[in-house]
Amino acid sequence: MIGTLAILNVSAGDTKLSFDPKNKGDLKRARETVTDMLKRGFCILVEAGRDEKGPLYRRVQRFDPKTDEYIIAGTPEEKPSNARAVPSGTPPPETRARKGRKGPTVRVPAGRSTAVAVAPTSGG
Amino acid sequence: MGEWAGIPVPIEGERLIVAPQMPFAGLFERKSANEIAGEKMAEKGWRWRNSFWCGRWRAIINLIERPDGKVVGSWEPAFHHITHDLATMGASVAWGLEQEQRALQLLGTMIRHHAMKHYVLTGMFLEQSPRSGLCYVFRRLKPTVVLKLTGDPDESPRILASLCMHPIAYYEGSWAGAMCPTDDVIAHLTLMRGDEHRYWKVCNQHPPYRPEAGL
Repeated sequence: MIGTLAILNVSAGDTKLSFDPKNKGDLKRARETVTDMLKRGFCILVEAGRDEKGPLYRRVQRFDPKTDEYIIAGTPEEKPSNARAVPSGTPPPETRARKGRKGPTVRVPAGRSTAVAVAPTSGG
Repeated sequence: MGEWAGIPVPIEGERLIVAPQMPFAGLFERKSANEIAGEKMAEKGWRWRNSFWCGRWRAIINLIERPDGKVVGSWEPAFHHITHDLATMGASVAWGLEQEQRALQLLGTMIRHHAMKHYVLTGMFLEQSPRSGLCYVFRRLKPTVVLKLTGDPDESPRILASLCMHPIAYYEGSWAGAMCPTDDVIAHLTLMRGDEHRYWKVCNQHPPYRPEAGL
């Protein structure tokens, strides 16, 4: 399985980015896009498991472009099936942990998960 | 770097409200009909003082100050939502069938078959949050209705709110977003599943008795 990110889009319904390790160009583009989207306030929701109703999503807090992993908040009891737990206080070097955001984080490999990106909202 | 979610399509005569975080938000800035009317009133010496919802009359009450200083009231009845319905239909020129088809395919991978069948046939489907226990009615081109189930089968569920939210932009006075209708539903669904707290935070919460709630 190759990880994909569906970006909800005005003109195309959704555009897909793939984290295909064999395609270096696509991978580079996907890394840059995800990093830029998080900076711009997009909400990325990654599939962190499934139940009988369908995929279970978790909001991505940060992205580590060196390891191609989404970083989500985790709880000791709840751990996504496709994730690896990381002790708290070890954010990736290029990002800083936000104040008041303590607790365990979970890393979900972008290359093995599907995610949906939602643009900042204008209310309604 | 491009605009990852695309650029909304402006429609003649419709005001587009763009998320302020978007770099192109300033390009779509236009005065609302209320602001234009307020300016015309001000030229004649009238001044808008306040507006509020009156549940008893089901109307918006406007208090306006006349040039002689006396404050008078006017009321705008709000019994139905036909103006929202018509404005939404008008905004449909901004969407394409191909986009909607792709969005439907994506939604089909996210929900169960019977929920998808409900959505295609009725334009809505139900999902209960495992965290809060609240039941969400996701609707195409209408705000999402949040129901609190009482647990008693004889008692009807309580409507908590109608949650309205559009990624990037929406057309004022309508339920139409810049994205095609099912993309808006996907945004609601993924945010509810992924971060319910944030979902409530970013949505506009319409009380069920207001026409904007679409009930």
